[in-house]
Amino acid sequence: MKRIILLISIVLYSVNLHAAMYISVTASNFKKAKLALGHVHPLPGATIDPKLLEDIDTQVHSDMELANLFEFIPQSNFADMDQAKDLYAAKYEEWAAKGAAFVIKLGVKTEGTKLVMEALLFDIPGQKKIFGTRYSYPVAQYYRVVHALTEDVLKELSGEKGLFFSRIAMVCRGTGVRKNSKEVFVVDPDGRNLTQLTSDNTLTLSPSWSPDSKYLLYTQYTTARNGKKGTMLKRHSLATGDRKPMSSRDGMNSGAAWSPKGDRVAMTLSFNGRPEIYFIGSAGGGEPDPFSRNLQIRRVGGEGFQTLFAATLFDVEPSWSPDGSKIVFSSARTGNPMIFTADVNTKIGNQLTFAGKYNATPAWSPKGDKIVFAAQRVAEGNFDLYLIDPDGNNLTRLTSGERAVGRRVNTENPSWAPTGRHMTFSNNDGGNYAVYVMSLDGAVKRKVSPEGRECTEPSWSNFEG
Amino acid sequence: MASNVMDQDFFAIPSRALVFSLVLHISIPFVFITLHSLDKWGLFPFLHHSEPSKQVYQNFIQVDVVALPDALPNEEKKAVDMSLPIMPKPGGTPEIPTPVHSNDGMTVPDEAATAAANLAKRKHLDAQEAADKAHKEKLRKAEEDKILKHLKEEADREAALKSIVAKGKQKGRQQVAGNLLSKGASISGMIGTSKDQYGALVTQAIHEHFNPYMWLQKRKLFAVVRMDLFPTTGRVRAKKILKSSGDSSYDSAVLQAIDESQPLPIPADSSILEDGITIEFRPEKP
Repeated sequence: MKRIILLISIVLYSVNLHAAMYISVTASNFKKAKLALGHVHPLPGATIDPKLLEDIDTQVHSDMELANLFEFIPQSNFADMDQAKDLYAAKYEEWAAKGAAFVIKLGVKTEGTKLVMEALLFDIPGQKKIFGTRYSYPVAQYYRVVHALTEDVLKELSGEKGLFFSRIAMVCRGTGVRKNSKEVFVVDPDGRNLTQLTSDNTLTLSPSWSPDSKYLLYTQYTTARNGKKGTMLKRHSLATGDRKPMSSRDGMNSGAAWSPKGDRVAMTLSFNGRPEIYFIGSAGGGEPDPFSRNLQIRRVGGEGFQTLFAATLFDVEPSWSPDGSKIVFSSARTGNPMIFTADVNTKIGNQLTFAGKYNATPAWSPKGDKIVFAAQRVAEGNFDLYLIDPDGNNLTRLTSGERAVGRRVNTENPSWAPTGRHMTFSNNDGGNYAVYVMSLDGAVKRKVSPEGRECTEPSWSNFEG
Repeated sequence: MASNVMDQDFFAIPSRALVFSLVLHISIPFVFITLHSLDKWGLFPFLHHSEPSKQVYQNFIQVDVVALPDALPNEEKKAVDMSLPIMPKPGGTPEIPTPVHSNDGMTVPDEAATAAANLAKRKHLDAQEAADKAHKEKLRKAEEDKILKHLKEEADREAALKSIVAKGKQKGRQQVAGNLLSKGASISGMIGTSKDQYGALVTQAIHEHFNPYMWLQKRKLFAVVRMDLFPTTGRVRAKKILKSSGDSSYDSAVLQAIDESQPLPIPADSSILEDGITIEFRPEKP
């Protein structure tokens, strides 16, 4: 009997030796793709104005750089391979030897008033053409052809849409008689196509987009039909220019945020005596449905809920989670304004931040994984941007307002690009407040508001396809 | 009496009334000028309906797009319509692109005529794509669950075997292995411990070289690879993707990580390697 047990043991022992070893590797280091982006060449047989060729070349590099997903192989490394006649095919082995993971080849020509660009994207290790597309558009707006190409490259590789096919709304100081008036402007994410949307010669605040990017909501100081002065939330159709008053109750009618499904709008109203967050229908009208009044905020590190300090309560600046189930907002219910999240249906919430003098303007990322907000620290006194996970972990500082000679600048009002890889904000680095676009890692930062004009409160639209 | 009064006074306008009338009429324009300037300075003494601003914004995407042929331009052409949706244009936009006939015979469809059709087609395709994606996601999830379940079963079986072996060893091989048994662990002994330690070393070595593209960061991709090592050199004898992530560049990053981490650490007991190493590559947060 003992011998049998021993035998079984030995058999099992050897089985154990042969059981496969199992390990788990977590992805945490991500890299930029090595891209060989050659010069733009005239298409075979075409002649083109060298100035235009250079402009297109510059625009292509500028767009690809803003995408912030590529590490560019120096053009001198592949000058011998960057030729117009090779446009439609890639020598994969030779490109691989240059270290390229992707190659983009571009040819252009003009046909009457139109610019025609042929673009090909090759996957070098995969040895295949990812796409080859011909774009055409009026020459005067050649950069839109480049935007279309960049958007296609990003869509193919990352599945993300809307870095270029989207717009930024903002308020800028008016040029009318009233020097403190602010008007709504809309601009492309590269600072082009600046368009003034309102000319009301009054103060305009907090523009924000509808999920389909067809409407803007903003708050204006106006005189209502009954002659009473106050704030009014307006819905502005971009297609027709029609405006519809959405809310003009006593006190504040501001900080509107359209739900991702588009059925309602969260906003701050103060007709009840103190600023609270309410829902209103996305067509306006009807009674506002109070959201923040009876929230229960979980006690930190324990059971039960926090006690409400009604005297100091204000709840402002709502922003929806991408699935529409939660709202992040700024509230002074515990003293200094802090960031809170709360479930739209259960009305149970969490406090995310506990430090600083003033935490404001939170914005939930399009992928739902991060919340960005502006915070004023007690010691420093200026506003900087911070990232935090929706569960309150991983608080990360994004910007630093410290400048030479003790000067500090504010960075405020962040809003996410639909790709979630860029954001826009206002910042007074150059003296006046201006609106900037920045990649999340800070590698690329560009001013998009016009020179010499004070602009704030940017809001980035969704992908407009 | 009445006629007398009329006779005397009808045409004789008292000078006081004349002056009053003149002053009143001359002041009317001043009233309007005052109102207007008050208005300009933001004071609205009367009802004021601001003129709705009819700023019409040009729609964003209007670039005409045609897919290039797969072959060289002077070979056979096959136009594939990959047009971006062309949005109906609001009135008064500056430039309306006209249809283009490209030199290789491909025609860009007339914008106005095909805008609606393109939009409808695009919507239909989008819906299809979404449904397709949901289905694929479901399949992927099921597949992943299946593999995880299988791996878990394997691990459970392994643990069970180990505990039996450990017990067997304690009984049968106490004298030989007794001082090598670590204290109190259920799966233990030299073999269990060194295998875990060795696994940690291999994990670390591969993790250092595992760098997928930035745009895959939020995609929650998951792949499983089996590799065999030469027990003397730590180089890879063979590697195989058991479960693809579905993204070829992620799969290449997985294989590249294994290649670049060579030579891998060698275990003290080379029998650990006899049945290969299974590696799962998973996203940061499960």
